[in-house]
Amino acid sequence: MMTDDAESKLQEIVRATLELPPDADVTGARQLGVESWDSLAHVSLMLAIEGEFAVSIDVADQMQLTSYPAIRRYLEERGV
Amino acid sequence: MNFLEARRLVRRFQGGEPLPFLFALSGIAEPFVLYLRAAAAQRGRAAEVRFLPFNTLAQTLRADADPTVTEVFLLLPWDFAPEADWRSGVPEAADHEALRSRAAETASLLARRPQARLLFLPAPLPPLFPDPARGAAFARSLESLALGLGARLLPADAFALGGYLSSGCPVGGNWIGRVADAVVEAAAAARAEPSKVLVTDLDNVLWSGLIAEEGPEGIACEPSSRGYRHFVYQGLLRRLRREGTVLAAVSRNDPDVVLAPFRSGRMLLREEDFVAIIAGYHAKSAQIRELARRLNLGLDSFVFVDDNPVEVAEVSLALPEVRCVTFPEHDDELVAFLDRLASLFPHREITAEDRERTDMYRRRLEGFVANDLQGADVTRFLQDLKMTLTIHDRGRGDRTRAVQLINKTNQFNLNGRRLTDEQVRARLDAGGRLLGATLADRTGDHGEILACLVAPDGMIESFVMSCRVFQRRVEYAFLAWLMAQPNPPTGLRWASTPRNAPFHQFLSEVAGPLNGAGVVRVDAAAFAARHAPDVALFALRQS
Repeated sequence: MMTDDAESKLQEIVRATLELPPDADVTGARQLGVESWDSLAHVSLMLAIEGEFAVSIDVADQMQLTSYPAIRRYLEERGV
Repeated sequence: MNFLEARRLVRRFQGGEPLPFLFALSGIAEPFVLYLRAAAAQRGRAAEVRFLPFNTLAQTLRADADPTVTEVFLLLPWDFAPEADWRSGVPEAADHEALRSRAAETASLLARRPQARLLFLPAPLPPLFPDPARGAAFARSLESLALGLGARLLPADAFALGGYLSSGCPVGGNWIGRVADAVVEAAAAARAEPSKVLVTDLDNVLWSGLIAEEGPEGIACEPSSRGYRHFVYQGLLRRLRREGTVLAAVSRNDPDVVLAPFRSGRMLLREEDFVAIIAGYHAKSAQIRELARRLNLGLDSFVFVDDNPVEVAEVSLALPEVRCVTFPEHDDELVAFLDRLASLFPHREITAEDRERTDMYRRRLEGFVANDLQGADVTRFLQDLKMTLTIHDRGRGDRTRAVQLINKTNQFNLNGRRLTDEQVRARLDAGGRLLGATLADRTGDHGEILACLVAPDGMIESFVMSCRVFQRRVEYAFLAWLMAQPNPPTGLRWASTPRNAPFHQFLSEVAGPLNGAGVVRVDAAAFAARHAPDVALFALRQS
């Protein structure tokens, strides 16, 4: 189970890398539904997550992590 | 520096001297932007970064450099040998001689840009040759070419194959902040000339341990166990001194205490290897400034090494021209640290004058003593540390660490009085209070660093703090908190000892001139009010 602190950091990272407003609800965000979630933003998002949560995300996983719930689940599976 | 930290830094930073530069990388550079801006902001600069279009580094090298543009190249092995690029896969056959020739050609193109600042990331190569040994030798030859051009070597771990394959960004999220920092440092470096003066801290830098707490026998600097890394560091300094680098030491200590290790015959470095060994309790930046004035050398020729991030921040803020290098906490950072330090003092040839430089400057500095000039205000840096101070009632439960602190701390010690656990228990049984405090910040957990025993009569009988956390205003915040509690202490039982100059400095600052020993009265309400800003530096908790 992800801690509140980790969840809050993850949401802040998603908002910042996708240039969303500070009060945007990102818990259901999906790449297809967020215009600013382009390939470059995705690279920045993956790098930010790696740095913040000290994980290294494989290429195949990076391609799958295209929604907030998927990222959250991925991090939870790695003990974040 | 991670993403959120970088973002906060950039958002808070306004103004600053522009730092325009071209960041040349054959992969995609855009993900670096935030981290580059943050690294520049940390140096008080506003980064204005320009990139090359993706995969155009080779073309850029074939064009003349614009002398008005500062170029920083982050080079990868395949910038020298394109066949070794992972994104091209493994070549069916690689011609070793052709690869070597192409690498040499790239090196000669880079050599035509003497003003460019080069960083080399020695990423692993794909298996290019039938003989793996040849591949390893080729990788080394590329590294050697880069080093020969004056490139700073980055840790190979910074390369992330997955990210590079998927996006073209060669650096992983765990390293991008550090690599960006190296890029900005290269961009901000004002000149290519070698530094001249290396100012080093002593405790936990030149040796392992705290000389004032553990004595000459308790520190370690020999080639064994915990002393090894300091032995290696001393070896580098000895070599640099021989090559003409001027060495100086600045330490928060008593002068007579710090000289003992130099005179013990146990160290590689001797007292006469240094132009000055400055010990005192005032701002290190002020001592360095005065040293520069006396030596008649510009501050931009100084390098400062310290293990304490607060000292590094203080010197960086007060003397932005000085290059500050943090002595690593962990062994796995030692190689990069030594590489970096050595790279700041390059010497192509060594003259007789170089060898005699230390003696010449020592003569110039005769009579130099520590002074009490003020240093930089590190408040903002301390705020960024996100410190949490947790105060524990050690009158209940385990008080082992608090009693241990009372009995082993010398420098920040109210009176030097030692108390057995039995004596502490007797004070508590009679209505006294024993408080401890633990400190954590974004750099890690510092553990229990403070103990304070309030006697049954309301006087502070013991007040000690680990010197590991000097400069963080912990003592002011703790005492302000204590003075704001119901039934605050009525005073402190002060006594001067041969080792407690730091406490003397603290107490005389908050209570005025002191005698050798006696009760020092402090107006609780006034103290708490005056030091509320110190309390505000911490998230204060009680347990």
